[in-house]
Formats: sequence, structure tokens, C-alpha cells
Amino acid sequence: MILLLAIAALLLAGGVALSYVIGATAVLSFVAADRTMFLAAIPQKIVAHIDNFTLMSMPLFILAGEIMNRSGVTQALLRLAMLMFGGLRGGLGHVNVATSVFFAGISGSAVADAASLSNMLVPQMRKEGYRDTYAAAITAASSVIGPIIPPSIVMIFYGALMGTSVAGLFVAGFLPGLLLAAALMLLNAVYSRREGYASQSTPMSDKRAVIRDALPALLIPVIIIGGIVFGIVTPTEAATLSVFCALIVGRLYGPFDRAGLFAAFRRTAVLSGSIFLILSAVAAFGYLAGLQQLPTRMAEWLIGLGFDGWTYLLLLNVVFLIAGMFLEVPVALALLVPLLAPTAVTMGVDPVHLGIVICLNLTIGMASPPFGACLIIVSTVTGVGYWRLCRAVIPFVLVEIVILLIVTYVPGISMVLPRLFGYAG
Amino acid sequence: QSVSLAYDTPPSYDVQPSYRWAKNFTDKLAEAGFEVETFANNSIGGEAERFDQMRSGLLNVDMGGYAFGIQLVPEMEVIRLPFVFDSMEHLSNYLKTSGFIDEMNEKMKGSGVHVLAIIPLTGFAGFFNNKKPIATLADFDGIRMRALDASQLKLIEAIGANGVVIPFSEVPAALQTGVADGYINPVNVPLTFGHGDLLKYYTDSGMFVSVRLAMASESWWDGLSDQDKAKVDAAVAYADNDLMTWTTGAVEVEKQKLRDAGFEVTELSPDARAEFVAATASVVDQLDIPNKDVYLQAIEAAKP
Amino acid sequence: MSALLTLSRRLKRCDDALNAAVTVACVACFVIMLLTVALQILSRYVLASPPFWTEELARWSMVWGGLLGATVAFHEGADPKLYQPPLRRPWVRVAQAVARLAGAWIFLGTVLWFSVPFLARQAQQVSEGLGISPVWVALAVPVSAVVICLHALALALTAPFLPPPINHDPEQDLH
Ligand code: NA
Ligand code: NA
Repeated sequence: MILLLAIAALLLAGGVALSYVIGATAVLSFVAADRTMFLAAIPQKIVAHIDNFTLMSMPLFILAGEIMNRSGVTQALLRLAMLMFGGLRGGLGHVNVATSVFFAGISGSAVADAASLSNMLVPQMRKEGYRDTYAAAITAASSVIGPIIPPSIVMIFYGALMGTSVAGLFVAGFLPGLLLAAALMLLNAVYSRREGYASQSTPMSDKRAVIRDALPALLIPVIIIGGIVFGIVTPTEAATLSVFCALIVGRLYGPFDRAGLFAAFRRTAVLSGSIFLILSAVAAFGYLAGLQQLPTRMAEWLIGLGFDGWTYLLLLNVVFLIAGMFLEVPVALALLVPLLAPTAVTMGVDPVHLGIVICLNLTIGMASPPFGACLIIVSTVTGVGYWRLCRAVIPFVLVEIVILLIVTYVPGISMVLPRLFGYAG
Repeated sequence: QSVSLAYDTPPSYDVQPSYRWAKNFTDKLAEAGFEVETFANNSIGGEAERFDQMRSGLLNVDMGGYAFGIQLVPEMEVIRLPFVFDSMEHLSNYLKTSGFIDEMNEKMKGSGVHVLAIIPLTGFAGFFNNKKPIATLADFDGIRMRALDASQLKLIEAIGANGVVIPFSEVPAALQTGVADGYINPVNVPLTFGHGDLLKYYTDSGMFVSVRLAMASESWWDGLSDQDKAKVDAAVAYADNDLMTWTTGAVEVEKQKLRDAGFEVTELSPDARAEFVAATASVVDQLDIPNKDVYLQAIEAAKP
Repeated sequence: MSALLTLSRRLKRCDDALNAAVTVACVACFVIMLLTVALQILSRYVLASPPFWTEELARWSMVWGGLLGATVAFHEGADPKLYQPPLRRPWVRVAQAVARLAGAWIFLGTVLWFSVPFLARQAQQVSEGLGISPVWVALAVPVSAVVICLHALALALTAPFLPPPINHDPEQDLH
């Protein structure tokens, strides 16, 4: 056991990617547990975990985001947010949050949001006199909105693991996402008053051009969200439509050649491949856990602790928040959802509501110190020192945790829309 | 001797036929002195993964879908053809007296699989929908039914409905939004999976019995002594008998549960049934199964 | 020493060529996936009769595209990692290359070893949609494993002689 941990630590320190650390450690664990012959099931595990219809919307949404970043659709949305909120005190802070909301309707990934918005907004905020730690912190914090407002790669994973309707999850994420945005804007207003951050309005003459430019770009989230909410398309089909929308709308914004398209596809393949390999490695570990009856024992243990309904949800919140701070989202989901979620469902929590809570937990974890992925991205892109960013983001994370608790214990916020549109009983 | 078995449903002895069968089977084996290890549903993998583990000898017994059997021996399809059985007793009698399973195992030799039992789910499959009661073939006009797979799609089209293949996890969304109006499933499915509010009408189709398989790994089976094989056979017989007695009562219980949940329950009249038999005959004719007619005659002869 | 350097360069070129070919293949797979789903939507809403093989073809292209994409990610060092050692010193470079070799070979070597009986079992089955053997999708696992193991070997052999191959773009990691 200690030897295994030592090998894993050595591989990690050597800069080996997570999937290979997990995979190699899993293989050695089978040997250590005297289950070597069961390694024969691993190839089948890999195929079974990837050959999954629900998973297909993930690469498609990644592709749509790639095309939009390369074609200028993202920039058009940014200018619209500027027009709407730039005039308020602390305007650029509001713009940062609002752009995340628009962006969230297109992209499924918090990291994609953090990376592109750090690049576009933080230099501008710095120029307008915002503290650079503050600009970086609000960018990291608002990237959490991305996976809560549909589409969402986290929800696609959860849906695939739990056999829950991804469309239902998407509909459910809408209100909690807006609530999160409102809370962050409120915090920005408070800070801007204290620090005296200025407003920055769009010149009157540009306004019509900005709106005209943004309209086609806004069509994409409308098609995606509308199509899914009204049940016209499945999430996979919506993802495909959004790719074609992005291609068509992207043409309006500027040159987008075959090389750009190839690059978008190539990066989609690389990102999906990295995620698939993590899924495969974790599946190997999960199999060993199953053989050793760990899920059953863990569920029995947790139930034996006397947690029920609400206290069990609190326990889940703590576990997933911590998981989000240290683990990649696909890893955390693949490791923990099959272990912990079914118990909550037997306790009467709706799987859709549970999905929103878990998704919110993990993405807040991604923006939380000490190892949140979004913080690492924002810090690298903006050049703001990592630990300074960690300190600056703490108030934002605390506000997000308050929202998390509200969403957890007022199921109505997530469930009202799914009930309205018939995705839940 | 020892045996490991993987369940395919959550542990609900009074609702899930295949759980009930597997629990009785392993309990009997434990009584007979076997060391039993069971794996909870999905704890060592989904359908395809468990099947592969069983074939490769890592798992002794797997509770799995009937389609796996058909993939190895196409003749197994005859059990699922529309309107070949009149009643659950007819099916039970055929399985017990015809030697069908032994014959299939003979053909399956070398594939890594040895079928222990064919497990009927709760009664005949039913037509569920939220548009109108189905009493005759004509009622299916304008109804869009969700199909499980390509072969069910053919069946749905044969009875005059439109079909659309949808994965099970997207079924509630499809029903709500009208992508599909209904589906074909055993009587207990809507209430077990929370589709109660999404469907209104149920008709006992009498068309076919949904079945699953209890499959042993061939290497494990071949390694058993004759004495141990006899113990396994006795456990299978015990679990089979219990299930058949239980199913008959369970269908009525589940129909009452549907009525209590506000469903309109319809039974097909003999005339209406004849219409459905005629409409699906072409599906049976077109299917390319070796010695199909021989099997159909044997099934006919097993009528109780 | 210079002979080794030339040899390393040549090996690196072969490895890069392999990666370039695989890149084209995985992009092609994703294009097929996109077009297949588009066809599925079109046939469902316009022609009202979905062909039942589209879903399977789309899924299988995703599996192939994704697993081949994983080999490209390995070649670029783009998979998410928790820690990236500074690659300026040669001995750190060698140590990382060896660690990556060990990780890839232990994990994927095992996968490769057990792929042979797995493929044999798959060969006896028939898929639901396309009606062909699922061995055609399962094959993606050993093929990608072989490519990654080759990349890892090439990396370890050339690491002592060649400067770090990757421009470390932070945005590429940690998705
Ligand atoms: Na989103
Ligand atoms: Na933002």
C-alpha cells in the first residue's frame, strides 16, 4: 500500500499525466490485491465506458466552443455585455460576469470560459484601474457559471453515469446559474463602491453596431437552450446543431479558413482523448473497488452513520467540494458518483436535483484554492501570482458556497423548470 | 465449491423477477454447501462488461440480457417471436419439457457461455401510451412508439404505429415532449421507473414475454463435478418454479397498481388479438432463423 | 555523441510522422461523427425515418477519434497533469521521459496484453445497428495503446539528446 502510494507520488512528481498515474497505479493495485487475473477485463471496461451515446455531446460541444473562439463569435458577445453593463459602477466587473452567462449558453466547460475570458477581459480591467488580483479573481469565480447554465460537460458525465436525462439536467441548471450570476454581480457592486472602480460606457454611435453584431451570436444559445428545453432535439443533436450554427454564424465575423477548422477539430480530438483516457484509467480502479465490494461497504458505512436526507446531502456537499478542489472533474465524477449518488436517490433526493448540486459543488471546487483548475488557468494566462489569486478569490468562493447551500436545500430552484417542462415528477 | 454471481437489478425481491431468481438460486447453492459471493447491480460493470467477464471466466454467473444469447445462437430468437405463446404456463411448459435450453447449450459450446435459465419478466409485454386506449389494431394509427432497438422497430411498424429508437435514459423527456407517445414494456416498468405521470393507457398485448438470461461461465460449469452440477441444477429448478408461481400473481397485482395510479387498463378481445397476430405474421415470416418451423411446431405442441 | 544526436533526430522525425498520420485519422473520425449525427437529425425530422445504423457509426467514430486523439495528447504532453517539472536540465528531462515511459507501459502494456483474448471474444458477437462485429470498435483500444507506447519509447530514447519538444501552452492543459 505504502509502496503503491510512493510509486504514484514518484510518477506525479515526474510530471506524468494523471491518466497514466491512475492507470499504472490501478494495474499495480490489482497485483497487490491478488486480483491479477481480473486485469483481463480492463480492455472491455475501456470500450464500455467510452462507447456511450450520452457521452457524444461532449466532443461536439467542445468543437462548437473551439469554432466560436476562433471565428470571433465570443468577442461579439463580450461587446454586447459591455453595452448592457459597462455603464454601471464597476462596469467591467459586471461585464465579466455577464459575458460568462452568455458564454455559458454556448460552452460546456468552466476551463474554456476561464481561459478565453482571462485573455480578453483581464488586461482591459487592469487598464481601467482594477487591481489585477481582483480582475483575475472575478474571472475565475464567474467561470463557475459556465457548466451550470446549459450546455454542460459535467452534467453530460453525470447523466451518463447515473442514467439520468441530460435534457432534464440542462433545464434544471438554468435558474441556479442565473442566481449565481446575480450573487457575483452583487459582490462586485459592493467591492466597486468600496474601491471606487469606474464605469465605462459604450459610445452612443457604436451601440447599434454592437447589437447588430451580437444578434447572430446570441442565436446560438437560443437555439441550444430552446431546442433542449422544448424537447425538439436531444442534447447530442443540439450539440451538432450548435457546431453548424457556429460555422455559419462564425462566417459573419471574419475569415475562418480550412486550417482553422482543422485546428478546431484537432484540439477537440486531443481534449476528448485526454478525457477518455482518464475515464478508462478510473474505470480500472472502479472495477477493483467493485470486486473488493467497496461500494456496498461504503454505502453501508455511510448509512450506518445515521445520515438521512438533508444531512446526507450536506455530507455530499463537503465530499464533492473537496473533490473539486483536488481532482479533475471527470475523475471526481467517475470516482464518486457511482459510490455516493445512488444512496441519496434511495433517500428520496431527485436525481436531477442531485445532479445540479453535484455539478455546482465540483465547479465551485475548480475555482477554489488550493488546486482549482480554473485558478491555475487564470493565473497562467494573466500572470497574476497563483497564491495571491488564491487569497483574492476567497470572498467570491464564500458567496458561491452560500448559493450552493441555498440551491441544495431549496430544491424548488432547480426543479421548477424541469417540472414545468415535464422532465421530473 | 464456490460461485460468484452478478445481479442485474437493485435488490428488490418482490418486484424484480431476475433479482428474485438470482437470490433464490444463490441461497439454495449456499444451503448445498457452495461458498457464494454476489456483486450488487453495476458494481463490477454494466451489461456488456459483466457478460464479457463471465465469458472470460472471471465471473461464474451473470444475469444478463437475452440479446447476448441470440448473438451467439440465432435460434434463441424463437422464444421472443410475437404470439407464439398463449400464456405464461405455455412458456413455462415449453421450457421445462422441450429440452430447448439443453439444445441451445449444445450449439453454444466453445463460446464461453452455458445458459442456466431463461427468466421471464412480469408477464407479457404491454402497450403503454398517453394518447388513447389501444383495443384494436386501428387504434395504433398516428401513435409514435419508442423502440428499444432495430428489431422492435420492425414489430412496431408491423402493427401500424410509427417507431423511433430512443435510449432508455431519454425516455421520460421523449414522452413528455411528444417525441414518443408510448412504449412496449412489462407491466411493472412505468411505476418502477417513475413514468407514472407520463403515460395513461395500458393494454396487455399478449404478444411476447420479455425474458432475460442466467448465464454461467462455460469454464466454471465444465470444471464442476457431476455431483456439484446436480446441486446447481436443483437450485435452478427451485428458482424457476418459485418465479413461475410468483409471476402469475404478480401480473394481477401490477395491473391493480396501474389502475390505482389512474391508468386505463385494456384487454384485447379475441378478435382484436387475431388482428395483431395477422399483422405481425409477416415479421415472423421474414426472420431468418435456422429450423424456425421445427421450433414453432414444438412450441405449439407444448400448449398445456 | 554526434552520431547519437543524428540518430535521435531521425527517430524523432519518424515519431513525428507517425503522430501527423494519426492526427489526420482522428480528425477524420470526428468529421465522420459530426456528419453522421447531422444525417440522423435530418432523416428524423425531414424524412421521418431514421436509419438505425447512424447512432452506432457516430459512437464508433467517437471512440476511434477519441482514443487516437489520446495518442496525440500524449505526443504533445497535453494530458492534464498535477505537476510539470522544469525541463531545462537534461537530467530532469530524462527522468520525466522515463517516468512517462513507465506510466504508459505499465498501464497500456497491460491493456495490450489482455486485448488479444478480448478481441477474440468480441469477434464472435454482432453489433445491433451496423450488423458487423464489435471487434471493429474494440480494435481502437490496442491500436492507440501501441501508438502511445511507441511515442513513450521514442521520447525516452531521444530525451538525453534533444531539447524539450513541447512549447508548454498552459491553456492546452487541465481541461
Ligand atoms: Na454551459
Ligand atoms: Na467571467
